[in-house]
Amino acid sequence: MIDLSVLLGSGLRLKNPVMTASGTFGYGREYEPYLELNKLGAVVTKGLSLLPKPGNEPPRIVETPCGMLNAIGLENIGVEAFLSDELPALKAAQATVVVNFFGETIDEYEELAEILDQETGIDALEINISCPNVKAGGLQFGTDPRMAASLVTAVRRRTSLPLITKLSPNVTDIISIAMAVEAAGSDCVSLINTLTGMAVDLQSRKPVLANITGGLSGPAIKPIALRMVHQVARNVNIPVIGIGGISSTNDALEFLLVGATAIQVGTCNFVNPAITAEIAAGIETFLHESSISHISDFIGSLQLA
Amino acid sequence: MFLFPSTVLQLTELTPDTFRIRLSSPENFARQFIPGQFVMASVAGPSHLDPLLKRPFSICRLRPDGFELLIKVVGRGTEILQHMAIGTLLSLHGPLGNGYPVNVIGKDRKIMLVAGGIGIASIISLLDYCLEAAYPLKNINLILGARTSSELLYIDEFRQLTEKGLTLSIATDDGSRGHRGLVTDLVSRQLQNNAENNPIILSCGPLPMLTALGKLAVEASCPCYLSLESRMACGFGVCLGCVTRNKTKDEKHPWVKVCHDGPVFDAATLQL
Repeated sequence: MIDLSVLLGSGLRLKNPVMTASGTFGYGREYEPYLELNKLGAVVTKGLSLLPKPGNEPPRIVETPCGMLNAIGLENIGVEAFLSDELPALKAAQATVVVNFFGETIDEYEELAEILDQETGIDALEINISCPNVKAGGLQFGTDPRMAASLVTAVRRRTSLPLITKLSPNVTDIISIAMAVEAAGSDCVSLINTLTGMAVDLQSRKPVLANITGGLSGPAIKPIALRMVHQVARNVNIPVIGIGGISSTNDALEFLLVGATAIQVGTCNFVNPAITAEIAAGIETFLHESSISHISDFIGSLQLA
Repeated sequence: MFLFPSTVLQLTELTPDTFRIRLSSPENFARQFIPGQFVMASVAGPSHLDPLLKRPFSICRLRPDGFELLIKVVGRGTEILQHMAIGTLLSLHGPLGNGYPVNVIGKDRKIMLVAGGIGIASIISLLDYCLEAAYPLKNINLILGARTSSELLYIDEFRQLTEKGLTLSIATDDGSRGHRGLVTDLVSRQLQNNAENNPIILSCGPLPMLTALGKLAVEASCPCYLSLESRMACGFGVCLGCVTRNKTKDEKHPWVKVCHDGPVFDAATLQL
């Protein structure tokens, strides 16, 4: 029997390291025709705000080589509708639930954390300090270590749930941000969010996206993500969740190898809605074939010498 | 709805930039299919990362061993598909979305089918359904629009159906066949001529055509259903990339998803 379970901080044990990346998995229920939600390490919801948000004007997405740009603009149903209309289905599916959330001010983050803390059926919170597509979507918190730390400190006071802080790659030094949120009490960090990018149309001479810029995701960003996860994992003592272009079991294993305790699959959920379950099964097969009985023996086993 | 590997069974060039591709499907695929629904199809092998995303295509016609898509080459993905070898395995997802409201179309109802360009793919699925369900062809009015006569697809087949009662009208931008001008000119004229017996309009085509058609339908108080096209990453309602504005909802919820709430919409609900 292979032990696939991983510990994200003190309070959150996942049955396997495969999570879904916020914004690519809806509120979970949408994927029930394709897989069993309780077979995943955790379901991470679309980012929630206090009030519903309409998001950006279309066009919102465009494909790019080995990836895509999106500027959805954090469209979401709001925390109230999530708790009444979506969370019950996740509970019924016995999924491990991580709620991703964001605000425009520290007060809003705090209020949300408090509301979510009072609910049963939520296993952890992921703070989005890094969405690149809205001016007030938390990015100002995600690019400055002091701001990031003060936000995490404030949220930490309002909840005893395990806290994951999701980091932006659009910074000069991601390690300093990771260390700052660790010091402020974050139980984990997840990285990377999308890289800010752009596409233009030569014929119309206009940007392709109505928002002009968007977040680049998909296999195109995997080497950057792997490098950042590797660097952060070597510099913090809290668990790191690796995200960025994971499209196969091998991709997931690479992130675990460089030190990620868990991984999140994002864009590839769109291409193959069953991919997360397939990767979870694939990791188990790999460990079995490699005669590794505990996944923790594999995590961070990168040979540098 | 299925996620399945599908074999390219046949590929036929119809014009220099349109082709028909026949794909294999699981056994119960046809039973689930509602005309107007679509599939998401990979344009590369399962482990290829580029192009990454599946593409949405209207299902044109069911076949005993699968189904056919009718595709116009508009970019890199469709160009790759155009040159796909017979026997290639693609990754498919579908049928997806909501089709035309076939269960509310009474057999005594006048039906106006309006297809612009490659929009004919979706309209053929509906016409096939009407034939299969023995709708009287004398009640069906098929109006086709294209840039030029050589881009009118399946025209011989439609002409044969006119002998059994189907009404067929054609508009081309250059006047090389039928009315010179827009397909909506024909719709407008026909609605005026039959003001006392309004049809239900069902249409697929370019957005400007659908927008004009929606307005005509409102003016004539005709029920009208439009099949929209959009770029989409997922096809099942999660990426939120294919939204379009909805007339009936408040500013907090201004959008509907083309993939999940459509692709066929009641024209009265859309802000086109």
